[in-house]
Amino acid sequence: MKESILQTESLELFRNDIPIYSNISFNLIQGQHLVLSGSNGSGKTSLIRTLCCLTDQSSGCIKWNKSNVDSIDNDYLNRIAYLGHKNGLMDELTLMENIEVTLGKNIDRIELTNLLENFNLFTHKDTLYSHLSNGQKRKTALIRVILSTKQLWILDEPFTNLDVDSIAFIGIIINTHLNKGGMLISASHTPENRIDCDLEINLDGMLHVV
Amino acid sequence: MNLKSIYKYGSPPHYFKLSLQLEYWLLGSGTILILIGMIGGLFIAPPDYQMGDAFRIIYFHVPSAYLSMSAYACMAVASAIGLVWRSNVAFSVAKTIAPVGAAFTFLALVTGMLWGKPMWGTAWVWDARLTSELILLLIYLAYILLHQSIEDRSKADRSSSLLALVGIINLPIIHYSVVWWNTLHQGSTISKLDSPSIASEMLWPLIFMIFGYTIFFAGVICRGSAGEVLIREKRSQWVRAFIEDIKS
Amino acid sequence: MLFRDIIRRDLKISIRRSTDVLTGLIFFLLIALIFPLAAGTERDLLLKMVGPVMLISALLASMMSIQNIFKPDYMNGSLEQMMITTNSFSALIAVKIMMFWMIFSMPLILIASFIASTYYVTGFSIFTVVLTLLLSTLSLVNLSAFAASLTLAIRYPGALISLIVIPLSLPIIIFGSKAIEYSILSMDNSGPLYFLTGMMFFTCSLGPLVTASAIKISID
Repeated sequence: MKESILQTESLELFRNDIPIYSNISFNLIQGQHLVLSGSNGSGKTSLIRTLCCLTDQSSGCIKWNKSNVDSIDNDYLNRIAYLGHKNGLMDELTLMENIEVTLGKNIDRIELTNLLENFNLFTHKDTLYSHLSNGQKRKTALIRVILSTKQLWILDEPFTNLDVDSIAFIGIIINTHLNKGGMLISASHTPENRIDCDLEINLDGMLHVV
Repeated sequence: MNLKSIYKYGSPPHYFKLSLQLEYWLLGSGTILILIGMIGGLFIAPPDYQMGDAFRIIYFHVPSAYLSMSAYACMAVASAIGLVWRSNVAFSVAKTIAPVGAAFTFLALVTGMLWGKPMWGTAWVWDARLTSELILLLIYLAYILLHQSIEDRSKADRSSSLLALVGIINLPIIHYSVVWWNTLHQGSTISKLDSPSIASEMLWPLIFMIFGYTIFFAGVICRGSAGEVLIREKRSQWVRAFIEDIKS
Repeated sequence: MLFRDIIRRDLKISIRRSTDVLTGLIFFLLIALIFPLAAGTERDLLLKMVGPVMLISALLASMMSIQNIFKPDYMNGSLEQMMITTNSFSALIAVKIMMFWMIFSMPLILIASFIASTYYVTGFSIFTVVLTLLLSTLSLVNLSAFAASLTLAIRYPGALISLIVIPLSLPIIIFGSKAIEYSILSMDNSGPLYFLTGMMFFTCSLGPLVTASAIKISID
């Protein structure tokens, strides 16, 4: 089976003539982990949103399996699971309802129970999402990504509000995912929380000032 | 005809140069045509059988009304081109047309009311044409306000272009709804606007005014859109060269 | 995300977030009740007014309620998730708008029939009122959803949504009022009703497409 590959060529974004990021080129293949590092405001979130096709870049292209992501028959968006700053879950539903509604009915229940226990969320599975703490909300969002069975995970600052045990556990999950042929792109501004990566792009100082 | 010579004006630097070159020619010839039309309409054309000299406001009302609607059509076409081809030139033209079109709509309303006073006795009458013009003014205002409220320029361009397109599709529907609504109330409004049997001595100044207004309108758009193109293309080479030229 | 899941989710949420739709409905009820108090209760006057009052109250109510169709999802990030995970975003928006309409229009019709009877409307005309409102609220909901999606990125849109919706909805208001008025006068009101049906098909088919494009632009 052909290996999946994500390529970008000279991605650049300007907003109201302010450069956000420029000259981003990389190749990411199965089993690899790309880290985007840089201080606040260096353009990490915008780059991640571009990689999810939420924000359009000003120039440059993204290719999945050698064909442009914009072309009609490209199934890039079916292969990604995205976790942004906002968790993407609804306040009015309980934790379990949130997961069921975003992932559908046929999720791996054993895996789900395992994750809930490791994240100390099992007892909270019927609490309203709005009553959870920020860390618990973030963990729920991570569960959504982990159970989504997508090949490429794109995570924007996944470890915000998490305690040390959870971070360690996620590290294990990520390694399992990468070993099974998954891919990961993560953005982080704190080096000590990072997991070993194969590629790193530091966005500080990469701006092409005009 | 070589199509390529037209296509190149879609690119910002060529459009910029062309519009600045054309501007004074358009404004000048437009003014001359308007002056000829005004002299013809205000002095040479004979007074109307029914309305006396009051009908002369037709020479200002009709071109304004006609232009307000065709300006919206131009804005919609420019918006469509901008959305489909992501063209900064098209977005600049659309954004510039909006306030100018709104001004012409306002003029059409004011001249319509000035005409209404001697003809019907009251300034405002729920005439189909006037009501449609008022609604058109509101639609222009919606475009202008939407563009102004969104901070990111590219988002603002695209959102208001979408609004302009939805507006142009709805505009005929709105116009004919108002006409239908109006025929229920005032079946027998005699409007000089609608009658095709206008004497030729009165007609030729009107033609001059319409052409003059249109050419003048094109001239006004030239400089505005050139400025907008400059703003949107700030980062490119030709703008920097242009600024260097100006400084030296 | 399957549409079945979206429908289930939207139903659950609208029950729990019931203030959105309730606000609009209460607004509808209050405005329709205020008119006779302000204008007097002569039978002829009320019969003349019932068409316009129904339509305008429905317009204002749908404008108020629909502002909450996209904003909460936009704020909590789930709108982006939906953009990424569904194959046809326009179809998803169509489903959302339809769900909103069903939840909004069912109580609206009940309230409207009650109000119509307080305006001295009798018999078959009440059915016409219901039919007119069904057809026009479909179009109005689509137009308001479009306006709400255009202004999604603006923090305090204020009167901008009204400024966008009201000129575009004028044909619906005109023909809807006439449909009700003709029915009350026992005249043939098929013309306005045909127009409303045409407008309904038009807005329901194009509405989700332009709304989806506007959302994509606002989220950008």
